Amino acid sequence: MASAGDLLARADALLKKYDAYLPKTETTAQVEERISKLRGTDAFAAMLTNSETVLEELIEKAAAVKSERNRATVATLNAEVRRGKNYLRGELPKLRKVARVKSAGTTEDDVRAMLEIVDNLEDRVEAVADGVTRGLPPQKKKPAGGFGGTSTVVNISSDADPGSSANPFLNMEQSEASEAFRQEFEARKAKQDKGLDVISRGLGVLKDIGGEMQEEMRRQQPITDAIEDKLDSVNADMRTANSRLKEAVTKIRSTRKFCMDAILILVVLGVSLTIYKTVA
Amino acid sequence: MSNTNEIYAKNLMKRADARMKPSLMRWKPNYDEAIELYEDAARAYRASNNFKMACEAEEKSADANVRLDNYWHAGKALERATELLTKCEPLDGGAVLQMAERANDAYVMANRTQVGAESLSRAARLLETSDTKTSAALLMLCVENLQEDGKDVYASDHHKQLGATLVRAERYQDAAEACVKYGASCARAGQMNSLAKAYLSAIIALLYDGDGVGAQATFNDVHELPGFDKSEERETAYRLLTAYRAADADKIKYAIEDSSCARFLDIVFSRLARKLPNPKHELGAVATKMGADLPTGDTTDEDAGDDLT
Repeated sequence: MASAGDLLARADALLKKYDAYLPKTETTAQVEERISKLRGTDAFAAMLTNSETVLEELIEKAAAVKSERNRATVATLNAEVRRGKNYLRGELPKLRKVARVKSAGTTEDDVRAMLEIVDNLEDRVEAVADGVTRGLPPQKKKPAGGFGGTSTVVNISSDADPGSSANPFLNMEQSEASEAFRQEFEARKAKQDKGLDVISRGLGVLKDIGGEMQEEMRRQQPITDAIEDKLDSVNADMRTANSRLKEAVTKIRSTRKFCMDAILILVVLGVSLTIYKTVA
Repeated sequence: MSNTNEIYAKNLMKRADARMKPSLMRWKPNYDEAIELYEDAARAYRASNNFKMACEAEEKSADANVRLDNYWHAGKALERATELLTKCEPLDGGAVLQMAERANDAYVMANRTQVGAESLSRAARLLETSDTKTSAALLMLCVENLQEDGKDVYASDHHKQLGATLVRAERYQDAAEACVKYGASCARAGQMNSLAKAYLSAIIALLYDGDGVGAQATFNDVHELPGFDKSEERETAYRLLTAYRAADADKIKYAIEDSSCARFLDIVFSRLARKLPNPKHELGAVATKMGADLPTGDTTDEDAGDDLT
């Protein structure tokens, strides 16, 4: 199967071969430099061509949005279309300025025609769909709490009339003891709220850390899988190499034993022959 | 004034150039020796602070490696050449970009696309304070290559670096677009935590730039995406946009302070959020452009002043 490198090499070779037939592409800086050297209707024509090219690209992107199913890609394309439209909206005053500049060879009719073209371009730019709406979507209601069922909220309001349905627990007058109790109640409630805020912040940090850890593990997973595969193959190679080494060592040792035996026998024979000759 | 290192380096270059061509005594070029000599010459030029010639030596070393089909080593040499170009005075961003692209191409030829993308990112990091335009261009290339190769899961850091570079260069619209692309990349890679942060960062960047319409449109596009729709970032974004529509500076500040997730964004976006609303832009004008006279949830234009008589 062809790899990315092979494809790139082949594509480069083909491009080099047919370079003379390719249209010459210019960078934005080169286009702007070329336009700044032109005057009058030539400058206008060059700027208009540039804007038309950008507009065509935007129209293509807007068309792609309609057929795209992936919402994240739709959001990206819409953002690019909006950027492009803002860029063209910035170019339109420059086009009008260039159209109005008096230069040799341009008549009043030419100026009027150029301004009409710019107005037409503006209409076409504004007509490109970019997903902009004039309102926010309605806020979703959060689903009911995990344990199900509604909870009744008891509101003790000190502003309501004493003895009324909203304030059934307060008497006509407050005694010193109940006032002190109320104050202590409020102070403890405030302390609890502070504590809960601290806990909430801590939980937020933990949640963020947990999310980052999950993403990091997801990133490391393919790498560890690749390491595992490579280790398995290295393991298999090592086993094969070890068994081969074992066979080789066994062979050498047995051969060596035989050689040693033969040599020792010859030595013994030689020694016994010498002794025999000496004695005899 | 050339010092000993430069003279030594010049000699090495001469000898290396000779090895690249056949001669009477040697009928074939000796690329291996040439590579070693070029590398020594580059080191010598670097020691004498002649970065331009060092870069040339590395380039020639890369060329010799390519002839031997050692694309990996060619990529390494071109990466060193890119680093040397960043040290040249005056800095030529275009040349750095070209050299970095060549290094990337060499890595791709060696079937190491991810390493190529990382080399682009390293080059961008070298330029992030001196030439933000080239740095941003390099990072855009890096994330594009990773996306084409289907390696979005490794592109996270590069996207964050790109967003930070663009914000530092005060190109808020580009930063917002980069964040939206980051969000799309996270959606492909299944990184829901980062996806939510990316989209909130985009909305904050657009609001800081005074583009309430763009921020609102971005929210409309992404508010139902899985990963963002039930997140706290969505709540924060909604509260922020509602506060902008009400043109209430205190509400905007409260929306950020009370948010449990604004401080976990990237530091540059977190700082931007704390500076909202941007005093350069008039809140009332922003709110009007956002269609603030319409009730929330209604996306059609109502006729003003209906006369039923």
